[in-house]
Formats: sequence, C-alpha cells, structure tokens
Amino acid sequence: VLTAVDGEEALRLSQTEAIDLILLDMLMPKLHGLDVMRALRAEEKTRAIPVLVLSNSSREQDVREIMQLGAVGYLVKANLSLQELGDRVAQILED
Amino acid sequence: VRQSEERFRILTMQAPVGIFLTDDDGNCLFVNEGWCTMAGIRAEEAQGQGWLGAIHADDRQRVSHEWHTATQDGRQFASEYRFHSPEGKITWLYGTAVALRDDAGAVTGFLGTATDITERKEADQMKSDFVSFATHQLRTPLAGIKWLLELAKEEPGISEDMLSYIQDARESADRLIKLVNDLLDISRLERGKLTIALQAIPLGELTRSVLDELSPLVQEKGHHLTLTGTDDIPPALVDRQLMRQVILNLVSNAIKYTPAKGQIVIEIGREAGHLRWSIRDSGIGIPKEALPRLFEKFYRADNAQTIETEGTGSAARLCRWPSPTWLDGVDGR
Repeated sequence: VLTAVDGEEALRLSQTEAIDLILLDMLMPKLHGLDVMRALRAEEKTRAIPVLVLSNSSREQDVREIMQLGAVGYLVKANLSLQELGDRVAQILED
Repeated sequence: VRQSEERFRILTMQAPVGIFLTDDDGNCLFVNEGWCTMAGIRAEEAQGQGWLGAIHADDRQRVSHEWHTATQDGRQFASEYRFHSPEGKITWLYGTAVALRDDAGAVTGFLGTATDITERKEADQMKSDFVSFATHQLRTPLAGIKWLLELAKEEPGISEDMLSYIQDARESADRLIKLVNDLLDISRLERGKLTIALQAIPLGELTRSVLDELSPLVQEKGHHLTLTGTDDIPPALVDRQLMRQVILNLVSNAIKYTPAKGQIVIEIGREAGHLRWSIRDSGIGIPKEALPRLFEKFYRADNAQTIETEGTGSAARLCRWPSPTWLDGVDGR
C-alpha cells in the first residue's frame, strides 16, 4: 500500500508504480480530488485504474461529477467502518 | 369618497411595500413608488407586460406558472422570487396577488404586493453555508475517532472492561456522527440542492422495510407496533429516499418519545382520492401550542426537552417538504 500526502504526489505515484486501486479523498492540499480524477482519466497508463472516493465532504455536485468521471464509489468516511471499507476494497479487487 | 381616495393614494405612495394592479390578462395598470424602487424601473416602463421584465429571468417561468395555477384554483398567489434591475441589482421578494372580481364573479384584474426580503435571504444563506461547512469540519475528526476505536478493539489481549469502554465510546461517536449528518441534510434541503426522483412506490412495502430496520429499537423498548391497511393500496408517486426518510423520522420519533411498553399504530388508507399514512402512539403527544411551530427548523416542543433523548428537531422539518404532513387530534398524538 502506497500513501500520498496530496493530489500531486498521488499523480506522480500513479505514473511510476503499478497500481490496482486508488482510494481518493476530495479535499486535499494542492490538488482537489476532482482534478486528480480528471488527470488520472486523461492518462493512458492510469485510465483504467479503479478509483474509490473517500471523503467527508458530500457536495452533491462533486459527488455527481466524480461518479460521471468513472469512480467506482463515493463513501463518506464518517459513515463508514474500517470493516466495511475492507470488504468494499476486497470486492473491487476481486472483480 | 374623494377624501377616502386621497388617503388611499397617500398610503399607497408611502407604503414600504411594492403594490401593483393589473387587468385580467396580467397587463400592468399601476405600480406604486415602493415597487419601482425594488424593481429599479419607472412606473411608465412597467405598464402592460413591461413589469414582467423586472422579474429575474431564472424565476420568470416559475412565477408565471405559480400565478396561473393559483388563480385557476381561485387561491391567493404567494411566492418568493427575485427582481433583477437594469443596473444589475438583485432584490429578493415575497410577493402576493389576489384576483379582483366583478359582481358576477368574473375576474377583472389582480391586486398584489411585493415585500423586500433580501436581508432575510442573505442571512439564511450565510446560516446554511455555515452549517454545511461546520458539518464537514466536524465529520473529519469524528471519522478519525471512529476508525481508531475500531482498530483499538482489534488489539490482542485487551480486557473485557476495556472492550466495553471502547464499545461505548464508539457508540457515542456514531451518535455524534448521526447528529452531524442530520444537520447536513437540513442545510442541503435549504439550498435547494436536494434532487427529487418521483417513482411509483408501494408505501406498505417501504414502511415495512423501515420497520425492519428499526425493529431492534422497538424490541429494546418493548413497544407493541402494528401496521395495517397495506393491502389493496395503489402505489404512491414519491421520492423513495425522501419518503423513506420521512417515515423513518416519524417512526423513530414515536419509538423514542413513547415510554417503554407503549402502543404505536401505523395505518395506511385511502381518503378522498389521496393516500393517507398515519401514525399514532401512546407517548407524550405534542402540546397544542407547539403545533404551529412544529415544522420549524430545530424546533422541539417544551415537553420533548424534558425527556432524556437526543434530537436535532429535524424530523418534522424534513417531513414538511415537499408535500404536507398533517397533524390532528387532541394533543396532537
């Protein structure tokens, strides 16, 4: 598991590493989750990586937009247990 | 008569509200000074259909539709909308209009008022923005607490006592998260961001699924809960998510505010071309004097505040919208 402290680092890692699944926050330093998602979708190498959004912000417009960009899910952190998150991640990796 | 007319003329001129008069086709015949100030156009420019140009382009269609349906049904028109002056100034208004009729009852024109509510609107907006911001800020540390407690519980070799402390702490965190989420729902509703998707939904089935979810709470308090009238009822055209929330709020309030081993009765039935979903409980009831305030945001009746339970006063508020929720009966039980 790799961690990125902000959106820019996430994009850098996504170019250099082989990644199966990205857990993406929305409100991050430097780059907003939506911008990261757009950049990921624009690059050949990262286009097909599944992205699961985890955020405590739930602006309806953001949710709609990032789902349209092809996120596999949008989960509100506060409403989620680690158990549920683990199950969801396992399920996505299985598919 | 002349003296009375003169008084009315001065009153109309001095009134801080906008006043307008139209013919039966909605052509403007008269606007007062107050109206001109808010709209930012002169009385001559308002004549005929000119006055409609003062209404904000985004509101024009809605206002026109509401006006027509109200006058067709013989009701008073009342709505909130915006003026957009030629200088670009936006003024929020609360506008009303009533039909004027001749002796035979035919509509001869409309007389209406417009009150400036811009300040109230701005204050409401600031309040909503704050609530929305605060909820996001609150949820972040709460999620941290919740997840770390979940990890703490998995630590090997912790004592039974420790496990129960962690469990209690987690439940408290979950309660706090739920309160914050309730606040967020309120603020979304106010900003008009809540989208409604109408579908034909069997209310009986929807109610049953809510009851399934709440059954542990019902058992815990030893209530006797019955649901009747679910057969032979046509589906209702509602938003599943919102309707579910409304039912959930009403039922969980009944469970919460009814002393242990109480009676809760839910009935679904037809009534004069409508479907009626009603709930009655053997709880404390709602005092008559609280009824007019019931749908206010965060309002909790005095007798609810003496009961040891948590609530944001959001339940009824969500219920009010988009269709009316009715309350009747002695003590509003």
